[in-house]
Amino acid sequence: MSHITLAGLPLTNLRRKPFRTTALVIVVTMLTVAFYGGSLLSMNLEAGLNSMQERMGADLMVTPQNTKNEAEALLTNGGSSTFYFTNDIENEVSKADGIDEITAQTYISSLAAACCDDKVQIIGFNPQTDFVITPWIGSQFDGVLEDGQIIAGAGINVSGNNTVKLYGHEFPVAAQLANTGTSLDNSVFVNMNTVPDVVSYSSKVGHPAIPQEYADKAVSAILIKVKSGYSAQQVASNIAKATGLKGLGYVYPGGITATTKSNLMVIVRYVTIFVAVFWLMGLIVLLAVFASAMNERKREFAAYRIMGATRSTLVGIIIRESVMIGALGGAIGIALASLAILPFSTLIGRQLQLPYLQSGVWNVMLLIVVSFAFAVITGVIASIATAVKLSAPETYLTLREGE
Amino acid sequence: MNVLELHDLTREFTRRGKPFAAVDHVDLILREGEFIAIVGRSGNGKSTLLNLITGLLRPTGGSIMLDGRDIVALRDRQMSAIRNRVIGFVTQSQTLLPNLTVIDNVILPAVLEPGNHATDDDDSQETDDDAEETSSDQPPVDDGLPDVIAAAPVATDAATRSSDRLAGRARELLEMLEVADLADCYPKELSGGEMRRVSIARALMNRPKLLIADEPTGDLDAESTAIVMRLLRDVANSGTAVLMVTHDPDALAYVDYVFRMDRGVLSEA
Repeated sequence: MSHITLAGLPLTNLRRKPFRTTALVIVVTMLTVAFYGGSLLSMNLEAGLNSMQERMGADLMVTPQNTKNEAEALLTNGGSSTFYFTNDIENEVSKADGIDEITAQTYISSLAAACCDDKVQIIGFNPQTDFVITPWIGSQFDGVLEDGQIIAGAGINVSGNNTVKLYGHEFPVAAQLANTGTSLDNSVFVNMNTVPDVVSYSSKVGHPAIPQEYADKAVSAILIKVKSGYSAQQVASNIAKATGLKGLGYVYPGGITATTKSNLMVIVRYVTIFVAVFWLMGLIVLLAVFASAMNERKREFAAYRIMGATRSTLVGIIIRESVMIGALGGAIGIALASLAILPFSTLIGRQLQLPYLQSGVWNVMLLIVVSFAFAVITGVIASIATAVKLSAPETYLTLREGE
Repeated sequence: MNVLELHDLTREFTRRGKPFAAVDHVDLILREGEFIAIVGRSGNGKSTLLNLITGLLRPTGGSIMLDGRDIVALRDRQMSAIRNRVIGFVTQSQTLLPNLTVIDNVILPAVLEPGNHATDDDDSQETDDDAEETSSDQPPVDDGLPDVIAAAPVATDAATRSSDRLAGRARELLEMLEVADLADCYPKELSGGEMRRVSIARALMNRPKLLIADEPTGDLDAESTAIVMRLLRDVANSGTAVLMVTHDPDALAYVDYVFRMDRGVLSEA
């Protein structure tokens, strides 16, 4: 039978006090969940924002009357929609002064499809003039998007035969894109020549996305890159003058990014404050529990000294106990928060209505290491003051306090 | 050989802003194999004197020579090593560790000090004594060594043998004190008298040169008192100096000399 060793003492002490140990571990677990979970959410939101910024290639987006909100939602993470102009808007808008590049896109929100949890946003674009989607797609797909083909966002389930079924028609998939954390993940991209086919398929299943007469020319938005020296607002004003159309919707993607960033910073700030306050409260609780436990254990620590333990040995025993508590609570907290967050990033993104992109493996690994260290250090901080006090030079006086 | 020499030893405390001497210019010499008792009313400085000798309290003045070394100026690590190897201390209050079994409580002093060889070979007392002689000739502590907890021993045959030897020594002591059947119990399962006997076993674990006992029979009935006192007498007869504080008149029959402590002043009774 094995007997006690100096190295085994801290573990023995913890095991013989299961209630106290469990209470301390739970506090550290809660702190770690708050710290790790909060940090992971903030990191993912920031990754989503960066991803969204990278996808915002246009300075100005012209949309039909009263569709500004839908267009903004489409750019962030707010869901799919269908809207369109009924006139040749691209030609009208292109007459305005200050436009460097111009392209049209068509947005069709599909019916709920087998491929996806939600409705799919079908985005028609013109590869000849496009400057928004093509550079991004080009980084992952170097072929030509043929008529009738689609490029699928990361959130689209592509079937085994490499197709996606929408409106009862199986579209061949030319490529699938990487995750962006934005609504683009739930989108499929087709060239403009395919849009009338999509409208035709939707009519066949009894849910025409766009009236048949507009199928060839329906355009949802004009995306503009302004010339150097012009502001997006100036160009919008020029467009209003050039077209003579009142009530056009003007969306400024840069502004959306700024607004989203501002919203995100508010959330991050709240998360930071919450974690800080929670940590402080947890630390106070830990300090109180450690101090109370140490008071109970004065006689025990005096006994160590009587038997010849040095002050540093005594501090070592206490610190090792707290390190074990911190490590156990940290590991449990990280595991719980990971289970709650990592598998549900799509759901979380949808609930937050903000761009939300799961951070990379290495970033998450780094956060795990930092969170674990945070938990252990918190445990040590909570115990060190008591440890030093208990290892006072005149042990006899400590023992008398314990009597 | 003198194991303990106290010269002009004084310890002052402050009470209501005024200093008073709990131990007042005490002189005492205790030789190998001697058994001394100190009697006196409570609050007259007996326990303070014992704690000064063990280095748990610092004196205000005077000197303490223990095993040939002046311990007053020693640093914590050196004093702790002496407390572990040279002194066995049975405290007045119960100081068994509640998280450890009786046998682990008794073994603990032997594992607290890395490199403690006092109990390495319990088959031969002579060998032990030789080892202690050798170790006492050298500085007990190397100040250059890091003052940290020893790493957990690797589970080798040697470690197992060492653990078995320690357990054997602890069981032997528990048998001598007639509490061997309680070896695997926890302190909360013991009576006051049983705890006291286990405390004595723990104090003897490292074969100390000086055994200090603060009212070792305080909680014991007459039969247990006799067991404990016979054991302490045997310890003294084997060469260990024993210094005991007691209120128990029955215990005095076993000692060589009796001293009285009155208001911090020690005198022969």
